[in-house]
Amino acid sequence: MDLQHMPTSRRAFLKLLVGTGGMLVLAACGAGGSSGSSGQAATTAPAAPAPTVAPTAAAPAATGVNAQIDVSAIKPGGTIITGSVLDVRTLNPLLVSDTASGEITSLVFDGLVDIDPDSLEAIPNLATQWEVSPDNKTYTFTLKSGVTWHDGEPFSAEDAKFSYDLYMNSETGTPRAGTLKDRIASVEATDATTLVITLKDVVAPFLVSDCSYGLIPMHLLKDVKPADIPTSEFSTAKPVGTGAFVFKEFKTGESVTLAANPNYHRGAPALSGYIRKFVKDDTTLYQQLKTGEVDAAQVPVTFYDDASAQTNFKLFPYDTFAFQFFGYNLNKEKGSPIFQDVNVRQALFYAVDRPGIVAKIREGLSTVAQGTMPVLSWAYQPDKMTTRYDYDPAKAEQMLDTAGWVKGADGLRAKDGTPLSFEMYTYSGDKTIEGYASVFQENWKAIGVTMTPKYEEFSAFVTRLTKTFDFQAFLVGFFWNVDPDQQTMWDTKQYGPGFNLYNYSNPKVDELLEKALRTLDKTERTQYYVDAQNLILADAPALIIDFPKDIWGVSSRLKNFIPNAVSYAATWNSYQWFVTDGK
Amino acid sequence: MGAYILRRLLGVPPLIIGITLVTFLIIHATPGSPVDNLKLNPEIKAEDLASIMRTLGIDRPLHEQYLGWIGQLLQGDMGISLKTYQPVRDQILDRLPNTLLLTGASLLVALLVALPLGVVAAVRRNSLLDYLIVSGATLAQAIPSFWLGLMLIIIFAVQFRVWGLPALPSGGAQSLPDGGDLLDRLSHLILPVITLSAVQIGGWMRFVRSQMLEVIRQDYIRTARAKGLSDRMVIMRHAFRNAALPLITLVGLTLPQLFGGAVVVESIFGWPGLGSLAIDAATNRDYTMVMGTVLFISVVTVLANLLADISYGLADPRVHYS
Repeated sequence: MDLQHMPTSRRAFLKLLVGTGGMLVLAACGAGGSSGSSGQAATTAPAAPAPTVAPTAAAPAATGVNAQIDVSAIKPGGTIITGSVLDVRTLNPLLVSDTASGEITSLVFDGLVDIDPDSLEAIPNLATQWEVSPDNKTYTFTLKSGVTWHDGEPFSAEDAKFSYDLYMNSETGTPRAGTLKDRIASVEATDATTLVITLKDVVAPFLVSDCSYGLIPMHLLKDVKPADIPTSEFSTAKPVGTGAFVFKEFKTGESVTLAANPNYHRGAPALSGYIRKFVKDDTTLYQQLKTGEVDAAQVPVTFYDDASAQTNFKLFPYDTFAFQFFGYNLNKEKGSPIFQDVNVRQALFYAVDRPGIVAKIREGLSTVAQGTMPVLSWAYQPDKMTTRYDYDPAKAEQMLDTAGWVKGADGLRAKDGTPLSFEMYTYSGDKTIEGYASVFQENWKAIGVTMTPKYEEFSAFVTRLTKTFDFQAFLVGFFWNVDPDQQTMWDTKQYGPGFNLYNYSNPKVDELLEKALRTLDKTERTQYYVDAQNLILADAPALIIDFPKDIWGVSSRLKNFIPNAVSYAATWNSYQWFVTDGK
Repeated sequence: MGAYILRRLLGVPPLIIGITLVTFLIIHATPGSPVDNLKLNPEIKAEDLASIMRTLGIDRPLHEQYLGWIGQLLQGDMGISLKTYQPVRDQILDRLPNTLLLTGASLLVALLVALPLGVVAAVRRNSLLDYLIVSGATLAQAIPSFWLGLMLIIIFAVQFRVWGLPALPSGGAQSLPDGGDLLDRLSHLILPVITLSAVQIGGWMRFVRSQMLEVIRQDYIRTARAKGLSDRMVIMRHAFRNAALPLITLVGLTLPQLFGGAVVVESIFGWPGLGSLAIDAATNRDYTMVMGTVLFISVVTVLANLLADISYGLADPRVHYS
């Protein structure tokens, strides 16, 4: 499951994808979102060096999410039901590490900023504006005044400070303490509407990654011992936030019911109610979308054709930060010696028919990766990638021949008696990933390479991948974050603690990624990332295969609900959602 | 009889301890942990993972975890769900009425359908009607629940709507947001009850039929007929009552089976009962919830068996417990 994500709030990050087969896919790695925190990083702030930036909403792209929102026809009233195969775990944004809970907490709780789904930049939420000090380490947020909690108590900067102190406190069982403690030196409320956060070092993703977490009311939690917060009534039954919707009821394994917050600081929501229904089986969920029992739900790609023919709901395929990737184990003791030869690593990449995978397995709803950056990111620069692994089996064969891996009488390649043969681990139960594995197997067999897929139960696979490192090669799906910082996947130090699962090490890459993390200027950052990607592509420790889209079906009566990769499906503008029939 | 019941009850605690211990060992031997998904999250540092595991109490040695769980249990505390941090006992009690409703209704429907059909099939042995009933029973037993459930949803929930006929809901225990009246709850019950009772109907019908066939050949039935009793009286009063005796045991033994079937059916229909709770707990490696649901279902099973034995004794004066 799931997997989860973090930030409280909005945009979640790691989410579980529902695979095609109806199973879970994995979680993501970094992905996304963030709601809060985690991730999103957008670039931060103002590109200009300077202070005071009033954040402006980014200009909507022509076909962007913003362009599809029309507030002129809003009708008040009505309740919508969204459906999901993932179940809500907690109601407290402090503890959220999964998409399902993030959806709810992002509706009930607001953070300092939101992330614009088009520009991936921070936009005002409870903070109306912010200034960044000249050394780029101190952020001064001006908070909205006159905002009240759902119980009527006033919201102030003290609440924001209290929230961040909890987010940085490991005793609460929050999954964000480690990252935030690494980054934040101090959080101070200098007056009722001013919050000052000082960082230990420049952190480019700070605003998008760490500033959208849901803020928590001090008056309700100050007397609760931090260690008791997870089991407190606030977290399990009675959350109180400042968000567009007020919590009503949580039936575990069944539904969560919310009601509109008439005093919402961006204006009362058009809808009067919201229900999130848990439906265990994705086939059943899809049927409920067809019957109108749910108004919005994710649609597995296996139902895409059938769904395209439906008239009572509209399909929204959108790019995400998720990706499938294949990696080698470069560790000399644990991996296979054949992968010490960069020619083998590259040749195998050339032999994979990625456009074929996108067309056949993804129904065309995916993009072949060029480099490591997701299509949505501003750091995605496909034209600047110097190594492109376009499908070219002839080139692959030639590279292997030149490197001494020649075909024997049986048509299989070997060098000095070592056959070009290996095992690739992945997890079982996901038809999509099994499809990838069989294409790989076939493509490589065609150039004389033997790959044996090994399917393992998900948990065992995770342990193998992240703990024992006992594999020759692997195939898995992950998520990136909104911010293009990819240190956790390529930095030498991240073998073990992070997601450098391949034991890859290139000091130049390490240096570029570190520089990019400490630079706020987007143009400069982009260049660092282009250079780093080109080195990674040439070294070929792993191949990002493609960036699949997610698909949501949204009832034709529900408007302004535009699914996107940045806010848990579409929660960032929930106050603008409305239903045409007012029911 | 009293001594017998007491003896049986005394055997329950060791049995339960055994079951929970085995369950505990199995779930911990299963790969994975409740925090697996966090392990694939690059934003979560090792220290966060450690603090979360401490909060959940899964950082302690296994024997401490198990003994701690037993200790809590003796005080009536089944622990906290590792998934939602909510008390396990509350969640089980929340879900119990739904499962009882589903299994109870299925049991009732299964009996109401299986008994008459079984009797008819036996009385009209080797007739076309008998063949139809027996074939139907075999079919009902052979169809996998998950398939039957999905087919029913597609026909009665989806296609009926497409055809403009009154459709049934495809899942849940009541309509959202404001269902919950009797009619609404009944309409949600129909498809899951059909799915869950199908297997039992098939099994019991064949059982009743073969019991009846055996009883009908007995001397006392011939005697009853010879006395000039009506067919109806012979079948209902003399034959059926005797034939139905073993059914008591069978029904008692079926209770746990119904709970088991409910696991599948509840998942398909999104029925918020114990079965779906148990499945979720297992997939999420929610150890305390797995322990809680297994414990609960074990107790139900043991008690159902005991009740079946006792009621059999009450119904059949030839049975003596010593």
